[in-house]
Amino acid sequence: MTKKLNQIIKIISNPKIFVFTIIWLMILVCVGTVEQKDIGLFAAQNKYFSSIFIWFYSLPLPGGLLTMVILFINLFVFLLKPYHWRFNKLGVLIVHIGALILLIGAGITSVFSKESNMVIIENERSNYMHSFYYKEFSVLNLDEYQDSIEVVNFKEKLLSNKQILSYPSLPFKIKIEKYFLNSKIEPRVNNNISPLRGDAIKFELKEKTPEKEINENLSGIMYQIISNDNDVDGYYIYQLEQRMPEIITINNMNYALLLRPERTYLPFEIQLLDFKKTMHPGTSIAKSFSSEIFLIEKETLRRILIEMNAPLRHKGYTFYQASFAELEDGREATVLAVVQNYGRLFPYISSIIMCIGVLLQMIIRIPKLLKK
Amino acid sequence: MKSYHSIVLYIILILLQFGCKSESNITIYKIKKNNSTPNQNSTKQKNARLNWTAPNNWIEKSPTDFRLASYDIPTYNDEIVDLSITVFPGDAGGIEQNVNRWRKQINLEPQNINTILKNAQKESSMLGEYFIFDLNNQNNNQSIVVALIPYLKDEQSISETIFIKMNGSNDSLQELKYEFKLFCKSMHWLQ
Repeated sequence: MTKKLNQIIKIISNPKIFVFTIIWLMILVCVGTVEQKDIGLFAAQNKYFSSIFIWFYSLPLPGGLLTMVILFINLFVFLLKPYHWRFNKLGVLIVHIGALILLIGAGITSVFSKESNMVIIENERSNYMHSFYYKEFSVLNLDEYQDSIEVVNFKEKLLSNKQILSYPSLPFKIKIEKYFLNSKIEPRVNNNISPLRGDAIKFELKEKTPEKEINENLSGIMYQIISNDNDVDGYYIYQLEQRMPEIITINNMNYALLLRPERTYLPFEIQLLDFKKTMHPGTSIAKSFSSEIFLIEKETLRRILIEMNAPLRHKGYTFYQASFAELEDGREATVLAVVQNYGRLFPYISSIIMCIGVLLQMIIRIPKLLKK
Repeated sequence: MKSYHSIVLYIILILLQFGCKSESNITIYKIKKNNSTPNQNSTKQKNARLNWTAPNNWIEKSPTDFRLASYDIPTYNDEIVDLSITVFPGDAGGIEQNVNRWRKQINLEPQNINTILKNAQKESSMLGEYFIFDLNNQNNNQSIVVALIPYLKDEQSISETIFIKMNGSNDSLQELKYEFKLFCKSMHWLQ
């Protein structure tokens, strides 16, 4: 048994695995970067870097995630071999520790990091960010509580055709009839389902070919409400960015239903005081943007300027000046890209450790080299 | 040797388990109801006091009987500009009377309410909408910039008026105007 285990560990910690995985990672980075141009950033990331397998026709190849797990195990097992813990290998060990920290950072980033954006209109406040990529189907209980609204969110993963959504506090069920990643609204021609409610009476949703960049898609949903109230039961439609949510009344309680980008609430608020943009002379191309904001936390205000190369970092969130929008009424809104990345410092720490390791190994080897 | 193998296996298993996401697909939370629109004045709670954020280089002076707070503001041309915050009950005499009083202080002719409002800038903050009056006399190089923030008790009556006023030379006040605007926007009630 020990022999077998020994053999397994020998295989797992083989330096050849390290060399091949690194080469394979380089290939993935190259192919992923090239294909990103055609399939978009999000799809390329999912296909090449966050996947376990990549299907090359019917041949499964290791995806970025699997490759990095193999790399991690290989390095880790190498490090745990007792006979590597010698003074003359101290530098190599430190380099390995540095590489492991880098991979741990990558793992933390891939599991816990969030990329979202925050749109704030001048003189208004916001305390939530919304996802670039993911949507959610939200049900808001508007009346049950005097001072608050209860929000039940169903993540995009659940929005598959014929899926039934329910939650104990909701007196109705939602059956997803159709969910389109990208959709268009057209006047209704097809009347083979009934009863139709709300916008669905006059309009119907049609599927559209998804855009290359996922955040450019206008997702749409057709759902059925199943409850004890015949006046409410029926088929509804909703398209992303539709201004008004669908409001239904059951047991004298109003519920708002809508599809929206996935929201994450922040433990503080941001108020936009002033948004400034400078254009390149004679063009409509923006040269720089900046947002003067108040960071409002526990009723104290801090005035901060966010510029294109000067983000705001607060409580693990980084706010970058990303873009701006002009509203129909002439007001301006700032668009801040918000990144929550707990693994942000890992690349810096691991690089320093690896440099120390290489330097130490060189120093250790100097006496030997001098003897020669 | 055996224990070494088991340690390796345990650590790998723990790491693999840690790497697997176990996120809930349904989230539930409560958000505060927000019935106010951006232009409505925020409600002043009982015992709430006025609070603000001033730039770091503004030097706070001790408050006096009439002034809620005062600042000395250094400028690039070595002038010290005086800024005061005062609060008076009701409309404190109204816009026309107050603006013409300030105009008189820098030797400007009085104006009627329509002209005054035409030249005023309308701004909004967490206290609601307010006016900024930028008065300057080119002949004697004197300026006064005032923010007049009416705090509404209800839609019809003003419960108190907040004045934020700064005096100085034309150049200094023009230089400080942006800072002044942001300072006014920072006004809010603190519980």
